[in-house]
Amino acid sequence: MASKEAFLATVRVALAKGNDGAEVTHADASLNLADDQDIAQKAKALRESLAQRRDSLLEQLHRSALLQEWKIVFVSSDAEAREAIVDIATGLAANTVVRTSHLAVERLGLDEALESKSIHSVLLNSHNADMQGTAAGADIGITGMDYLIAETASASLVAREGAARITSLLPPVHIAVAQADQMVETMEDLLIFREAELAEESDLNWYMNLISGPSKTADIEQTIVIGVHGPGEVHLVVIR
Amino acid sequence: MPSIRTKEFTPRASEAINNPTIQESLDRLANFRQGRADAIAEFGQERWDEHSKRAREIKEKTLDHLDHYLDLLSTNVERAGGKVFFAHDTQEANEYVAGVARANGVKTVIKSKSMVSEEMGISDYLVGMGIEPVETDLGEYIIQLAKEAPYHIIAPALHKSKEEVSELFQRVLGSPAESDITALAGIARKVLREKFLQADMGMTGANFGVAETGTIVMVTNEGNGRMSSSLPRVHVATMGMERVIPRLSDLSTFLPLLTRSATGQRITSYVAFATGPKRRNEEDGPEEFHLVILDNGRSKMLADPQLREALYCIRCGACLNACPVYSKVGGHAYGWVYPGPIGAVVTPSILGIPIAKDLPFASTLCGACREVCPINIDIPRMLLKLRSDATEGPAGTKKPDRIESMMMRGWRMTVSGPRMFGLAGKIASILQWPLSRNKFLRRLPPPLSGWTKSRDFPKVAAKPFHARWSTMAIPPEKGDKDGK
Amino acid sequence: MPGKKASLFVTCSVDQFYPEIGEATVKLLRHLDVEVDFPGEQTCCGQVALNGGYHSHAVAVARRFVEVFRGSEVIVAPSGSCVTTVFTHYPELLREFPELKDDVESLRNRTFELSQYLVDIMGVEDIGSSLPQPTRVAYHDCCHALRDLGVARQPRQLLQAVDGLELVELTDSTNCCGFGGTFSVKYPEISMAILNEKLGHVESSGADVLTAVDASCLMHMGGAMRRQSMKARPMHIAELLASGLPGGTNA
Repeated sequence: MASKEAFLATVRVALAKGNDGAEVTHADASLNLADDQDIAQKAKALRESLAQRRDSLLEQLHRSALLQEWKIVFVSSDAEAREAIVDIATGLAANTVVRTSHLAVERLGLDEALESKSIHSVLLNSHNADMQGTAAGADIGITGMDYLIAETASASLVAREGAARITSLLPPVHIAVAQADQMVETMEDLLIFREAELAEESDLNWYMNLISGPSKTADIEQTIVIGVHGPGEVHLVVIR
Repeated sequence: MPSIRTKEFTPRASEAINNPTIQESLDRLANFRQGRADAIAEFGQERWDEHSKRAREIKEKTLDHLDHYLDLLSTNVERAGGKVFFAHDTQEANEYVAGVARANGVKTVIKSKSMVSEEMGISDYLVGMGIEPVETDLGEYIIQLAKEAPYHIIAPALHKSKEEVSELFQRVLGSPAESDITALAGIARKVLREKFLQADMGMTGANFGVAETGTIVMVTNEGNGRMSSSLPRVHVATMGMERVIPRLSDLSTFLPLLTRSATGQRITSYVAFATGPKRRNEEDGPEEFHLVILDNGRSKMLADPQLREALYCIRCGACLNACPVYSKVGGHAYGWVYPGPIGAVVTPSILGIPIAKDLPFASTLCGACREVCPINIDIPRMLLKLRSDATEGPAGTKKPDRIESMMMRGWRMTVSGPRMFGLAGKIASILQWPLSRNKFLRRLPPPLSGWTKSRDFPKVAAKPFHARWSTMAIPPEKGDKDGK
Repeated sequence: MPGKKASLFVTCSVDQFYPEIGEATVKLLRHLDVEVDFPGEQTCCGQVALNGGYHSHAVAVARRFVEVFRGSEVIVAPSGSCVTTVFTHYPELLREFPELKDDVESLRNRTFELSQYLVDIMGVEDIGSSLPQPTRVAYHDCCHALRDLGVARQPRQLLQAVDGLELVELTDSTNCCGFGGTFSVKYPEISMAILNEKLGHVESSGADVLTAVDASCLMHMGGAMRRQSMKARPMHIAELLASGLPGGTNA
């Protein structure tokens, strides 16, 4: 069995040979986050720039969300968001929804609103006896989101306490809830924020998903089929 | 390792060319080509070129210091609570994965599409241990049921018609005949959903391994990558050692290049970032996370300055779609895991030239692969290098053709000067006499008989240009005008 | 003005199989007042060996080429792929001769494909050619000319300016014709499968003439066009352009 040291030694021998004897010492500093002193500064400047461009970013998100096959709705208050979600759930004749405990979701008061329509609403967490079964059996998963990328209509979601990975994965319908101030323009923006966060946190242990539309495949005759393993119907509720 | 059939290139190419269903499937590659072109136009050509250039720089620098970045990656995976195993070859990699499965009493493994796991042949290995491996990408699932190798890097079942898929599902799954593609996908979804929920171990590839955070990145559309890395108790990811990138923000360079080149998508439905196992305050996720980093001949490519570039590949498949040869012969002709132009470089580099000698020659060197490569990998240059290794390389590498080498020595003598050149032309023009008809030859002896089977060959001119020049050396009118 | 003097590199295949293309090239250049010389020691650029994997042979022939053309101001060839051998591959082929480095670097930058030379170096827009009868011409983009030398606009510009010539665009004109040198002999079935798709596009274009900047691609395409008795006939761009000059096809 190869140890790490033996493996890296092989790599070093190959490198020396392939570099024609040129000296290889330390990695290029420009590639290392640890050496990137500006990241916090960069993130701050970016945040300001994005705030100024918010309206145009929301327009861009609207266009790209349609291309990415999200059903997108813009609302201007929590009450409107709640109403929109209840409408979606009743429209689908849902029996059960599972949700996360994101603040953006919690404060909508969804449980009461849904129960009043006889739709059972469950906060999915490790206290559920059968988490996977509950999620797989639910009609809808509702989650808050961390960032929204305008260019690609991508919504990012880090798994954490109260936010199970499978809430947005196992039910056939996913409703993603986000605030307008979570908008960034590009993937690059999002990763600058993530790097700035990581530079401050010591806990690197995280699982993130970038969701950019419904689950789909084109593996048979290049014909697109929506909803192969993950949700086939995805809604994006953006609170301005 | 999976079966190696690289020596059957010619007959398997012929099979594909003469199979109308396969040709129809291959014609659909035009969708990929168009999708890519549209996606780049939307992104902006200039911005695209900047991304390409930056991606290449990152790859160059990362590979120049690969030991450092692999060290960093493994340290950070371990810091996040994961385990890292470095495997020299596929045997070591398989044994390690088997050990993890055994230790966890695993009965079913759900797999998300991974070329490295194909390279390892882990599925057969697990079957040998009495463990059930289940491919969950729809295309991979189809070819697993059909007991075939992937046809294309990103579209494994490209060659199958919906009728063939329906017939396959009827035969293996006992499902009813179905002509609707959505319904066929629905059958697979139902079967696989149960497998997802009962599996004890999930295996995925890694499109990228981020050194600085210890994160592996999985790019998928179906959601099976998320399932495989979230539902089972154990998650094992496999990656080729060249797939490491320094930092998270590098993904903003690579991801658009990958998805737009591959399927013409702005982005895939899902990009999953996994860093170690489930953390304490997380609600769900695997208890164990293992990352297997594979060499398997890659260090040989790293050691060869002329082949190192092949390790920049991000497996988007654009070179397959653009290749005139792949577009006719399809994926199985290449006989191993990696088909198409990049396969013609990687396969002989990993398996050795004597086993895969035909592949570097099976290219017109048209350069379409290089043109579409998002990392600007010069595949034709490497094919020429491998051709040269095959004919003149060090002993044990080369595998030259005797008649051909003889002809080449003759040619070399011919072009050694104008006298020999003229003489050879004269001899040829005499020899061709009995074969000729008008100005053309309709039948030549081997090894040129393949040409004349369907093409006329021109006759050697009675008076070559060298001989004609003497009568045209002084231009009739212009000579005086130029004052010469 | 630079480029008023040019050495013709006729290429081995034109020399032996298609000397008329060489004559047409000379005629064109002289028509445009270029003083043409023909270094008689020339034979081949080495592409055949390079393509077949015979590196050492290719190196020897490349060295010879450098010697033969060292004194030439500008080298012009009626072939995109032979020029590509010099332009793209010589630096790598002759890497082991550091004493040749400067020569090679300079040589590769003054070796041109014919249409590239006429349009980019000479600044020609119209050679003043006129065809005796209306002719529909399809231009095929040869791979090396297109992707290594960036030759695409130049030949089209010259063709479009010819009186009586109607230029039609082939579907997928930039797709390879399936020749590939040794490939066409080692893998004739694949080569033909690729070619037949190309010939389908030639057929549907309704062209009378299929033209290109490389004699070798035309040998491949034309060989099958003859065998299949197609309406279109293959013709190298030098011959096509020269045929409309005063005095017909002969220099």
